[in-house]
Amino acid sequence: MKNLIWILLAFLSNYASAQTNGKKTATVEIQTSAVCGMCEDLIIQKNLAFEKGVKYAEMDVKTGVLTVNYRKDKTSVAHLRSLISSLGYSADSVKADSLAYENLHFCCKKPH
Amino acid sequence: MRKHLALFALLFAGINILFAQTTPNQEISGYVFERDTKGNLKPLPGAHVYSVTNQNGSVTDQKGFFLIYTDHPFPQSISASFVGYESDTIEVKKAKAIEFVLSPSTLNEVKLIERKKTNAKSILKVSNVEWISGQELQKAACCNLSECFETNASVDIISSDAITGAKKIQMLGLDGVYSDVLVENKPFLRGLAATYGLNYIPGSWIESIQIAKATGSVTSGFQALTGQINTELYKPETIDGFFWNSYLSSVGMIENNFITASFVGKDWKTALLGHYSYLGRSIDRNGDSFVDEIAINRIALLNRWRYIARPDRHIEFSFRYLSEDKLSGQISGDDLNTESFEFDSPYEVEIKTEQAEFNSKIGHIFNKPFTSVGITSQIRYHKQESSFGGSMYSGAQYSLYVKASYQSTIIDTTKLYKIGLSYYGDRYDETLLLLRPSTPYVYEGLYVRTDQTLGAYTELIVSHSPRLSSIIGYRADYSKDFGLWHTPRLNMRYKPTDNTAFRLSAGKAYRQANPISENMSYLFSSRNLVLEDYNSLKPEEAINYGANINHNFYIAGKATSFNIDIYQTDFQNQVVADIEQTQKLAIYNLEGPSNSKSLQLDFTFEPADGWELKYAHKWNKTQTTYNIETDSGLDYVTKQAPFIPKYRSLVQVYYTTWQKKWDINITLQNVGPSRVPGQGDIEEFWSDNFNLLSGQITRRFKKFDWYIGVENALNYMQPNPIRGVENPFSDNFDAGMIWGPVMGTKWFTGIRLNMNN
Repeated sequence: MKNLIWILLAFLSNYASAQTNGKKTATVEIQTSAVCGMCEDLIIQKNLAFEKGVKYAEMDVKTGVLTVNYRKDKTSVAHLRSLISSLGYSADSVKADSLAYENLHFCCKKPH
Repeated sequence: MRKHLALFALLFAGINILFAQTTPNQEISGYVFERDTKGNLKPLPGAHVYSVTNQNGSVTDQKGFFLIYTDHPFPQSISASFVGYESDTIEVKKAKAIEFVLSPSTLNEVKLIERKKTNAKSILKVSNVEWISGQELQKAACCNLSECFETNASVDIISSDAITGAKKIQMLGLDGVYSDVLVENKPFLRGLAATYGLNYIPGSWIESIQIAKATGSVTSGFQALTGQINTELYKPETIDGFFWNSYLSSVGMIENNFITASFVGKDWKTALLGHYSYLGRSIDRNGDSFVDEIAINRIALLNRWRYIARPDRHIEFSFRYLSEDKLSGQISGDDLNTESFEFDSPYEVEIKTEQAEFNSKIGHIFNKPFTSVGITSQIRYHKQESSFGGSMYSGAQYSLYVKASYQSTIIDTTKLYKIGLSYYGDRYDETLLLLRPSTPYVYEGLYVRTDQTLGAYTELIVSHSPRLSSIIGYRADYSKDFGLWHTPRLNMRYKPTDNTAFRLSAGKAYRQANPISENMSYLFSSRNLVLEDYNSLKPEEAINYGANINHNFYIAGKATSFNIDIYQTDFQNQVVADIEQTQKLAIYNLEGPSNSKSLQLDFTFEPADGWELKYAHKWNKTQTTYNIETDSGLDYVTKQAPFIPKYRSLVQVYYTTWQKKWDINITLQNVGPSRVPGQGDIEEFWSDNFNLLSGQITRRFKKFDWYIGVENALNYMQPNPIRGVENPFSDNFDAGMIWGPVMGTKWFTGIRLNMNN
C-alpha cells in the first residue's frame, strides 16, 4: 500500500516538474506533406510518441502543419525533420525519403 | 494488388477532376476506417457508403475502399454506415478522395474517439450498454474473461469455492448463470461450461466486451435475464503481424498467449490464437493443508478463417479447442511437517476438462443500407471429469446451435427490423458418485437429458424521432419438453438533450438449469445431494424490468458523466439450490417469491488531461424462498440469498501521459457483508465487509509494452475459508462457503510484444 502511494507521488512530482522546466523545451512548427488521418497516425502515434525528447505533438491535417514540443537537450529540429522524411513525408525543406514514400498507403500520398 | 488499386483510384480521381462539373455520371471514391484498440486507423471492410441524395451506394472492400457513381451535382451528402458503428455523413463539395472514420455505436456521443475513452456508457444506444475496449482490459491483469471485470462496477467477480480457484460473476444481484455470456453473439457459457467457462477465454484474445444490462436482445436467445455480456475476439481481418504476451505471477504462474494472422491465397485470411498457462507446483499459503494456488495446465487454441475476396459476402468459420487439468485439495499426505494436519488419506481433487467447438457464419450483405442475411452455427463438445475426496463427477455435453437471420429497413433507415429462426439442441450425460465416509453414505446419480428448442424471433428498432427510439422484440420458442415459451422484450430510450438519456426496459427470459454442474462448489463438502426427481425440475422463468439515467456534463470544463441504474428481477420459477440445511444440498422448484433488486450509481470525472476518476456504488437485495422440513410438513421461508454482498463500491484512479507512454491504474473496492449459511456448530452469520486494492503500471515502447501490478495488495483473506479443515471426511467439512478472497497478495509482471509484418 505504502509503495503504491510512493509511486503515485512520484508520478505527481514528475507531472509538476514537467510544467516548471519550460526553459529546456521548445516548440516548433514543421510543414509536412501529411494529408490525412492515417498520416497523422503514422507520424505521431506510431513514431513521435516514442521518440526521445518529444513531449507533445499535434498535427493539423488540413494544412499538414505539425507542431512539436520537444526537449532541446535531447533532440533537435533537424533530427525531427529527418525522422519525418524517413517516414515518407517532406518536412520543411527536407524532401521525403523516396522509398518510404512509395510504400505509403495511397491516400497518404501527396496529390500531384 | 495495392499498387493496382492505387493506380486505379488515382486514375479515377483524375477523371473526377477532369469531368467533375461536366459529366452527370461521376464517381466518388474514398476510404472508410475505424480506430483499433490502440487508437490506430484500420480499414473497415464491408461498410455501406451511399449518396444520401440519390441513394446510390456501394460497399467497401477489404482495404476499406469504396467507389460510388452518382449523377447529382456537387455538393453531395455521402453517408457511411456499418452495423455496430455510428453512421457518419460527409458533405462533398468537389470530387476528391474522401475519408470516413467510424466509431463503434456503443460509444458515447461526446467525441469519445478523440479522448480515446476506454470504458463508456452509451447515450445513443437504446439498451443500457457499456463498452469495454481492449485498452481498458490492459489496465489490469486480465488473464481470462473472469478477470476482465476487475475495473468494472456492473459485473462482480467472486471466488466460487476454496478448491478450484475458479471465479464466477454476478450481475444485478444474481449469479452469473442468469447472464448470457456470448462470444461474438454466439452462445458461450451454456450448459456444463457455465461453472468454469469464464476461465476458458484468455484475456489477450479479447478485442472488446459489451455489457448490456437487463434482458438483452431477443436475437441472441431467450436466456439473458440479468444481462448480456458479449465478447469480441481478435479477428483475422483485424490482426496485423504477430502478437505475443507473456505473464508471470509471484506464485509462479506462467501464461503465454500469441495471436497471428496470414493470407491464404488471395481470398482467405486465417488467424491462429493460442494460449498456454502453467503452474507446476501447488501452493498452500495459509498452512491449512489445502492448496490455495492450484496446479494448472491449460491449453487453448482458436483457428479462424475469413473469406475476404468479396465485401458483400461474409463467410467465416473457426475451430476452438481447450484442455485443462487442475490439481488441488490436499496434494500429499506424507510429507507434511505440521503434526496437527496428519491424515491417512488426503482429500485430493483433480478436474479435467476438454472442449472442442466449431463455429461458422455465412452471410450476404445486400446493396441496400442495413440489409443482410446470414446463417450462424455452432457445434460443441464438452467433457468434464472430476474427482474430489473419493467422490466423482463426470459430465458430457453435445450441443448444436443454428440460427438463420435476416435484417432490413422498412421505408427508410429509421426503421430497422430483424427476423430469424433458431435451434438449440443439447444432450447432457452426467454421473455423480458422492462418497460421504462419515455418514456412511454413498449417493449415486445418473442424469441424462436432451433439450431441444426451436424458436422464431422478430425485432423492430425504430427511431421515432432523433430523441426517442425503441426496440420491440418478441420470440416464441417451442421446447420439446415444456411446450411454448413466449419472450417479449421492450427497450426505450428518450434523449431530452444531446447529453442525457433515459431508458426503460422490461422483458422475459427462460433458462434450463444444470443444477449439478452449476452447484459443484457446494459438493466440495460433506453435503449430500437431495434431488428427488431430476426430471421434475421445471425451466426457470423470470421477468426483469428497470430504468437507467445517463447524463454527461462539464464541471469547470472537465468532462463528467453520471449514471443511475435500477433493476428488479422477479422469478416465476427458479431451480433453487438450497444450502440452508446441515449437510444437504437440496435442489427443487421454487415455491414462493424470489426476486432481486439492484441499484447502481456511477460517476466518472476527468480532472485534468490524462486523469480519470471513477466512483461507483451498488446495492443488491436478493431474496429467495427456501423449503424447510418441519414436523408438521413443509414450511417456506423467504430470505436473502447467500453470498450476495449487500453493497459494493469501487474507486478507480487512472493516469496516463501523452500518447499513453506510461499509464497507471489503481482500483479500490469495498465489498459489503453477505449472508453465510450455518452448518452444524456454526451459526448463520453476515460476513465482514472488506477492501480489495489492486493496481498496475504500464510502460509502452514502440514495439512492446511492459506491465507490472498487484492484486489484493492489502492481503485481505477470508478467515477459515474451509470449514472442518482438520478432517475433510468429517461431518463439518465444507469448502464451498466462500464470501471473500481466498488468495492473498499477488504480484505479476508481463510483456506484450507487437510485431507488424
